[in-house]
This record gives sequence, structure tokens and C-alpha cells, in this order.
Amino acid sequence: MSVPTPVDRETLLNWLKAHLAAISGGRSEDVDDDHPLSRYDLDSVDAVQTALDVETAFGFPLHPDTFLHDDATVGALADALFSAAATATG
Amino acid sequence: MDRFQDSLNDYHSICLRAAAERRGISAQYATASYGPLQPGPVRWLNFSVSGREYLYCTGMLLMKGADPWGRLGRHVNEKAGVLIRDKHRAKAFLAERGFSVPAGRVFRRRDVADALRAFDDFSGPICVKPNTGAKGEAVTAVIHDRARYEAAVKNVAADHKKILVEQSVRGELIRFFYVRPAVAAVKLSRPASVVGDGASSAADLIAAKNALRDRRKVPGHSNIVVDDVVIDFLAVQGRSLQDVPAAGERVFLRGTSNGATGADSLSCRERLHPSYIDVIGAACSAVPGLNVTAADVVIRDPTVPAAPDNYWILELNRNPGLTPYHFPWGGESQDVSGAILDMLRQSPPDLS
Repeated sequence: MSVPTPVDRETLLNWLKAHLAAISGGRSEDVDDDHPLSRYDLDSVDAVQTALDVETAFGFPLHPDTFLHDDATVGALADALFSAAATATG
Repeated sequence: MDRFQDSLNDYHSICLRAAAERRGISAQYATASYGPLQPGPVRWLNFSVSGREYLYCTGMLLMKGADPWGRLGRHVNEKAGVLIRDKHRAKAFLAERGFSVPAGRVFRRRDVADALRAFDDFSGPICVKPNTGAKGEAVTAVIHDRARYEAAVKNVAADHKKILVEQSVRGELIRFFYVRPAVAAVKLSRPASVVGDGASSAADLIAAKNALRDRRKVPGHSNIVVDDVVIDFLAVQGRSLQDVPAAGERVFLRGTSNGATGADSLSCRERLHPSYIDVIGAACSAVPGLNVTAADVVIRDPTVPAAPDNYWILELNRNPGLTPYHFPWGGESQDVSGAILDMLRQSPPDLS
């Protein structure tokens, strides 16, 4: 497991937008903070892969189910990631 | 229900418990939630091999212990999970390594219009299924016309986030049960079918076969349910439930080969060319972290040697069932449960 490093919300939000764009075949700038996750059709495999990618990129573990809440917005998900990152880095 | 009592709802666990007993391994049932956010399954067969504790339920085998996500344990195929749960990705992985797979594309539900247009990309019959589905759910095979194709795509999109559209390959579906490092058993999975007697209608033949199912009570073999899928499958062949098949004629009722959809499991090693055992074993071994799986493979002619135009790997199952190998509709029983236990004893997988 990587060592978690401090990361700000903006970085996590931008990473998340790029990731959603990549897996759904769109452009990062078209991913809006207010979009619900349901718009991107993440399934359980995407959720596990995304959790692993977060851990690889930022060094903190995240439960895959974090990415299966279809009603959550991209912005709210960035908040959740920031909270998990803050917990991991103390 | 006590910790020693089997449940007929999970015959796979009964098979594994019996194999454990034959090896002097104590196994008991325990009730627990899989993880904080995944409440089921709840009844596990609990046993220890070579100092490691395992949990098993309906095809899922866990090594009990610390899991980063707070579940009961780590899945025996943990490191291969992301790859093999994604059918399209698994096939791309295998194709890159020289194994034969059906050509296909995957679409997210938001891109359903693209999925509908993909009909024109195929020159032959098409199969439409969920990219992460199981047990034959929402699978429509052997599609020739646009109307059936569109209905199949919309049917998958209604309940699943990714739609897999691929070449519908023709042949016999053979399931290879793999326990690292080799294939441990093979069986033919014959889709739900009846054989004509020259006098009875297809509907009567189905009723007779279900009556035989009820009498024989072979575990893992469900009755044939007559539904719209069966009626549609017959219609595509220009037939109906009222047709009287000729004596000895086999009429197929579905395009799927899962026990849950009325398929028959038959032992087939005697007529399977041995080269397939090596090829499919190599394919499974190529997947990092894949320790126990069942590879579904369509083979045009199982008696001739493996060649790229004669077989296609459809998928690698993450939680393969055990029952149909121990209790085939026809042929010899194969001890896949014993093969798993022997692997756990001789070379336990590294799941860390």
C-alpha cells in the first residue's frame, strides 16, 4: 500500500472528473460538480477499480461502495474523498 | 438450523462439506454478514486447512481474516476480481495473450443509442448480455434480426449499467473447472432441450422432462420454465409449443446453458480432445490471482484439436458452482470440491 500524502479537495475533484471522463468516454470539462453519479453508469467493477486507482494515486484506502451511491453528486463524492484523505493522513 | 445441518438452498456447500469430511477436515456452518455494506450471503461453511481458516457459500470461497474493506475475509480470486467480473475486459486480456474469444463491444447504459446502432457492425448472429451478469440472466443469444436485437439491448439496459454485445458463436458449451494450476474437471452444459418421440408436442415433452426432473431430483438441475424467452426462442426456429418434433429430434428451448435455466450438465471428457484441457488451463493460469474458476467455452467440434477458429472463451466465473460436477444429469461424478481442498492444503493461494 502507498503512503498517504496530504491532498486538497480541488486536486481530488479534478482527479475524479478526469477519472469519470476516462471511464465513460467523455471529456473532463463536461463533468459537472452537480452531476449525480448515476449519469456515469458506474457498476461494481468500476467501483472497485476506482477505489484501487484512488489508493494508487493518493495512498489512502477507500471502500468501493463509496462509488455506488447513484444519487451522490460529483462534488459530494469529492467531499467524501477529501474526508477520507484527511482521516488517512491524520 | 444448527451448525451441522446442511441447507438444500446451498447444495454447493453440501458438496464441499462432504469432500472435507472424506479428508478428515471438520466443517461447520456459521452465520455472518459478508461485509458492513453487503449483508448477504449469511450462512457460511467454515473450515480450516493447513492452519488457515476458510468460509464458503454458494460458490464464493473466502480466506477468513483481515480485509482492508472490513469484509469477513479475502476472496480466493481477490486479485483477479476486477478483471474477471468485467466480461469484456477479461476477454480482451485473453485475446491479447493469443486465446480465442468472441468479438464484441461493451456500452454503458447512457450510450444505449450507440449499442442499438452496433447491430450493423455484426455480419452474423449476435449475443447480448449484461457485462457483469450471472446465471444466464438477461442473456439473449443467436439474434439475427434488428427487432430482437433492440429488445435484447433494452432488456439489459433496464437493469444493468453495461451492455455487452458480441458475436454469437455456435457450438457446444463446455465448462472447464480450474483449480490452480490446472483444469480439474470438464462438463458439457447443454441448454434446456427436449427430444421428440414423433407423437408428443413440445409442450408435452417439456412437461415430461420436468416430471423426470422431479423424479430424479438431481441437484443443480432446475425444471424448464416455459416463459416468453422459450416461446421466442422456438419462434426464431419457426416452431411453437404445439409442434410435434420428430422421433429422436432434439429441440433446444433456450440459448443459455446455465443450470438455473434448465440446462443439463453432462460429463464429456471422453469425447473432448485433450488439447482443450491444456489451452484452457493456460488461459486461466495467465490471469494473475485467479485460483478457482469455471471457464465457459464454446467449442465447435470438441473432438478435433484446439484451434483459434474452433473454440471461444466466453467468461471466467468468479464464484463457480460445484454441484453439477458432483451430480451430473448424465455421466461420471467429478470431485471438484476435493480438488479445491487439495489445492488449499498443498499450495494455499497468496491473497495478501
